[in-house]
Amino acid sequence: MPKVLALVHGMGVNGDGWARPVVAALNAAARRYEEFRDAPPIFLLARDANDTSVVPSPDQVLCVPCSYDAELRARVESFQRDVTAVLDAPGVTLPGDVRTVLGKLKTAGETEQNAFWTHVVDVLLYRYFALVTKQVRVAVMDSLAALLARPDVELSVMAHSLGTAVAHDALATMARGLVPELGALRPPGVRIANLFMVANVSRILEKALDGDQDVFESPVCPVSVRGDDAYLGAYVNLRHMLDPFPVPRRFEPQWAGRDFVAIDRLLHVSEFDVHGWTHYLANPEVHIPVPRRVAKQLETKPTVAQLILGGVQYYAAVQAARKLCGVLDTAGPLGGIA
Amino acid sequence: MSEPRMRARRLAACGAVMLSGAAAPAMAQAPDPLQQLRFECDAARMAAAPPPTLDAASRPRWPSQRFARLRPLLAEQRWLDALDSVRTSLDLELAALDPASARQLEGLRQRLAITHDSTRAYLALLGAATSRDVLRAAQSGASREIGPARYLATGQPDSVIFFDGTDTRVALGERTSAAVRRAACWHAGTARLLLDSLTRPARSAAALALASKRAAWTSYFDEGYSQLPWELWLNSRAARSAARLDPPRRQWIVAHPSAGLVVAGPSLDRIGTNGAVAIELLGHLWYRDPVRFSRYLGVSGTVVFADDVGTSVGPFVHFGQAAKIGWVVPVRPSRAPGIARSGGVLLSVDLYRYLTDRKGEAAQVLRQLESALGR
Repeated sequence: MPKVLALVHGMGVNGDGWARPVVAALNAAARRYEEFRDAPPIFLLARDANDTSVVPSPDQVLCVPCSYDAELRARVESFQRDVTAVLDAPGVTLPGDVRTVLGKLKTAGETEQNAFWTHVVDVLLYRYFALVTKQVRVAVMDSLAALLARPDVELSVMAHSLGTAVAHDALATMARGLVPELGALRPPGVRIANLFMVANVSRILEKALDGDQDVFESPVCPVSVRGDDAYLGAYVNLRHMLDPFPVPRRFEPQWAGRDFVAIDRLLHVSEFDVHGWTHYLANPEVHIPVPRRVAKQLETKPTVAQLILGGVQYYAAVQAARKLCGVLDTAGPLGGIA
Repeated sequence: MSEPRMRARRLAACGAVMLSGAAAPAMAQAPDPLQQLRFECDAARMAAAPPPTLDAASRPRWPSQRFARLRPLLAEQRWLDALDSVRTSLDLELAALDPASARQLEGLRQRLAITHDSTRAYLALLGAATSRDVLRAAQSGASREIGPARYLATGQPDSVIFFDGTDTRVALGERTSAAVRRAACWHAGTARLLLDSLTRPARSAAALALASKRAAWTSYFDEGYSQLPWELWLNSRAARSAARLDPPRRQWIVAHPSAGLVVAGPSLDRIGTNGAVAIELLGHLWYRDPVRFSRYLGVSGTVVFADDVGTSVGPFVHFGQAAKIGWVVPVRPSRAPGIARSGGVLLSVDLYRYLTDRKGEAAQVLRQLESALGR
């Protein structure tokens, strides 16, 4: 049974190979720990959901990008293409107002220094243009269903930013049975083992279509919340305190089960872009749960005897250090024993 | 010894002691019962060959081995017999356990019985299916109960749980004996492999349905009539149902500009082509094929701007992706001499190219028509 981690990207330009830095960050994080330093990488990258050329061992996780960027880029590029053909038509003088309105769409498809069209419009198209919403959902559902159709697969999903809303909506559509053809993908017969939501904005963008459920009421929740109707084995929500995007409507459900994990007090700053996916993964609070839950690794729990032994050793070390370092003003606090 | 040297030595000793203290809990390497639980109940490992560390007596009981022995039954579609074999094997192992341990696995026994009944119902429905819709109905209802995830353990940091959130919940912890752990995990693992094989065709059918929907959406946007942001918003208003995932078969056209050509002249022998921009003020399209969206019919009211002709209005008709044609009448004709006052033909650029590419063929058809009419 291969362990598969489907990756769903956020807003912005995500061309071919967008998942490479994410997988590299996960592997780099794993190599920080001694047991993985000389081992083969835990996370392998496939090209897409139909790529079966990469075969992971039982200790490895196959990461599969689930993209919808091509669909969004095609929309804005078609705006630009249509308008350019009109504005550049020879022998035609358009009324000034028409030219002004159309002129605003002339740079829609450009990807450099064009944050409005590459980032903001992604969110607007997904939230307010139902035709695009459906196409994007179908694209992600298509990838997830192709993975679930593989023999004997244990699927987890990790989504970032806008991808959290897309992943939630795609999973909810599959789980709810609204579409008869997708009945075979419903819980409890089929379940997603883990859902990792990085910078979760699913609550801000919820109910984009008529009939969509509130994110707290949908089947995209762990088993402790909705039993047989729940689509997830575990839900891990990750939020950085300084990340502004999830703030307007934070994902803070009243779910008390141990299969819902909220890691929402992250405060590390190692890059300017605190919203970035790889910035989140730099924090051990974020990158340890991934191999722990998906690959069932980095999971060591000491026995009672080991705990007692360790406690005694630690106490002795602290006492000895106090005695030795008592005269030093700085070494004590640096060692964390002040 | 001088004071600075003493200070340096004490600092080094201090660092060494702190490091040894911090590392102490991680240094112990005794076997971890939790690791063992996770290792033996891990679905990926259970589906692979038995680990080399497993004792020879236990190897035939490892799920992948047990499942391999069931394959002849599956080849004959004897799914219920295969499930019965798993149930019997579990009963035999429970009989060898003490009553308290056996009671721990009562949930698994019950669940296997439920799965047996659900599988029987599922197979009966599949057998009776005479149309695609009945097959779909069978898959949607019954396969929920017998999907492989039923037997997938939900992992908590310190336990392995089967059938969580149900009356048949089975929880195993690090204190669970090896016999109980293996009876639970390995039978659940075998049942999961079995049900995965049984329901995989239904999951593949769902994946195929989604792949075809994705292809339909690509065709809708790539081959259908293009939409500018305001049209996309308006057409989205009419397609907001979350339950309908297919592209719509109808489309409004609102203030849609496109480049075209006006073919006009004061007389038949002085016809010329003029570059133009047509703005379709309001119109509607009907797609004729739910998969290939290049086939559509549509009509719109159009205002046309062309410097040499002036401003004209008229109907514009769409016959699919390439063929668009209209008749426009000047409302503010150009004052230039030699301009048609009665109107002209509006062509899409694609249609104009198509016609000019086939100019010879068109002339031949015209000659044939003339000879047929005796002119």
